[in-house]
Amino acid sequence: MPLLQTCKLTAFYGDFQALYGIDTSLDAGETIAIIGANGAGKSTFLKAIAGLIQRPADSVLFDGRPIGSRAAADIVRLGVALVPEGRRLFASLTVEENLLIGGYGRKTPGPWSLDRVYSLFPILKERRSSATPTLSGGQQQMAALGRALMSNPRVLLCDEISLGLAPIVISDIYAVLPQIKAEGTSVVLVEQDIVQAMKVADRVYCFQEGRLSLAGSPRELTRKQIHRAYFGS
Amino acid sequence: MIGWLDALIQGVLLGGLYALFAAGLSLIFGVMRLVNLAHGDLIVLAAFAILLTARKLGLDPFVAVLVALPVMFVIGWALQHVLLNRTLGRDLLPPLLVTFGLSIIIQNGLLQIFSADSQRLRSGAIETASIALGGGIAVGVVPLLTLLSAITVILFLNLLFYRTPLGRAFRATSDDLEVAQLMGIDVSRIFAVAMGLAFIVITIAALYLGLRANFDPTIGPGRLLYAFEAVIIGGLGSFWGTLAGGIVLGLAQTIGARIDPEWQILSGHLAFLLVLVLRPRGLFPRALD
Repeated sequence: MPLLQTCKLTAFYGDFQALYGIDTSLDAGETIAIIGANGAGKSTFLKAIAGLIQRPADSVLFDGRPIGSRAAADIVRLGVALVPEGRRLFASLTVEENLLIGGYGRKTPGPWSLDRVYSLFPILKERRSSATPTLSGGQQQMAALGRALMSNPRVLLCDEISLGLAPIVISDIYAVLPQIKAEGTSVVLVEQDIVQAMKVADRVYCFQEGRLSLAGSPRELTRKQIHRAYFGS
Repeated sequence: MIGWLDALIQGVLLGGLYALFAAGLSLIFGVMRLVNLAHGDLIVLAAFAILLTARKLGLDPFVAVLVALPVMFVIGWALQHVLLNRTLGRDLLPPLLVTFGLSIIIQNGLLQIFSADSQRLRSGAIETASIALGGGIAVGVVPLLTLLSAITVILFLNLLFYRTPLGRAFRATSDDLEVAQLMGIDVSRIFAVAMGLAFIVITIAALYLGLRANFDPTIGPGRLLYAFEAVIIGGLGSFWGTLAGGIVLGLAQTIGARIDPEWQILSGHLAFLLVLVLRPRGLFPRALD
């Protein structure tokens, strides 16, 4: 049984339909990547799983149970954490407070603690008392990632964690992924950077205008297939 | 000279009362960006609650307030949970309309029950007790207690906001409602707790309102105005700023009254306008908005 599954997932912004029946699955310990052009519905897909937008009650299954009617605050308690697009750290909280608030809803002990996050990203320990707007983009992304980890998620949803960062910073951030996965966390990456996504994902889903246009393992997919799935033909 | 010094001291003490009026408003606005137009009427409501408790149970107001505090916390919590949470969203208008309606309901409800008679909280000798500071200046015990309570409330709110997990959740929710939910924060409960706390502050303010002067069901909107002015003078988002704002307002009023008794209220409003012109974001705005 997959850990996380979406069945005919639909989502709307008012009258505008953003997702048209998306079927995906994520096994325990697996990393999947969602790729696609701007406006393909990638972020909406993550928001729908995380409970930030309305979705059919039985369209999202976690551990085999439908969680589509749960509120966002419940979803993270169940063990699905979202690193939102654009980091969105709490500006009036220090770095350390941002990390601590990540563990707010946590009921059970798990692998991640303040010390563990600091050993993952030592720079955050140095800057623990800083206001988050003074951090560099890469440091902010580390803090956002650390904040999500503090809830000890079984599934980590990452929305464009490489957005707006220098290539060297991106590889710094992706370098910690194996350590996160080593704790048994499954990962869903939404990524613009296809090369990066193909490198780390076990399987790739490509979205196009709210529909699934391609799915498969990075080794099996050809450049041509991806190009067509990405841009349409 | 003594007269002016006296005006300054009395102004600071009066500022304590305004800071108490404003602290609850500041707390609510700070956490949920809700402008509570019924704030003044809620202070009057709380004053009547203390009055009723004191009369029915034969208690001193200082004891009656201890009975009223938990009750008011629950009322505030329930008000937010049942009513006000439904009004919060992208649109600023619904909470304004609903709290405006609430203001009218409270005023008329109190009129119906308690009539338009002026009331006062009676606490015996302490009401008129004063401490002589020498040189012909004396400070009333009740005004002094008012200021000390205001400082204590502000101190407590600051500790709560900046030193506890609940305070962290308050600030996070205020920063970004959506992401706060991603942290597992049940924002509707956080809002209800914030309103409950605001009702505690409101009830403390009501005690001193009732001890200091007469009150009747119609004076709420006036208290709301002072509370607003204190919050804006101090700068949004800062509790110490709110205390400073209350004191600026109190000082302006007593100094105005010293020049001409007719100028008391007017000079408070003028000071407010002056601050708006010179420092539109208030005296101590939070660094980040």
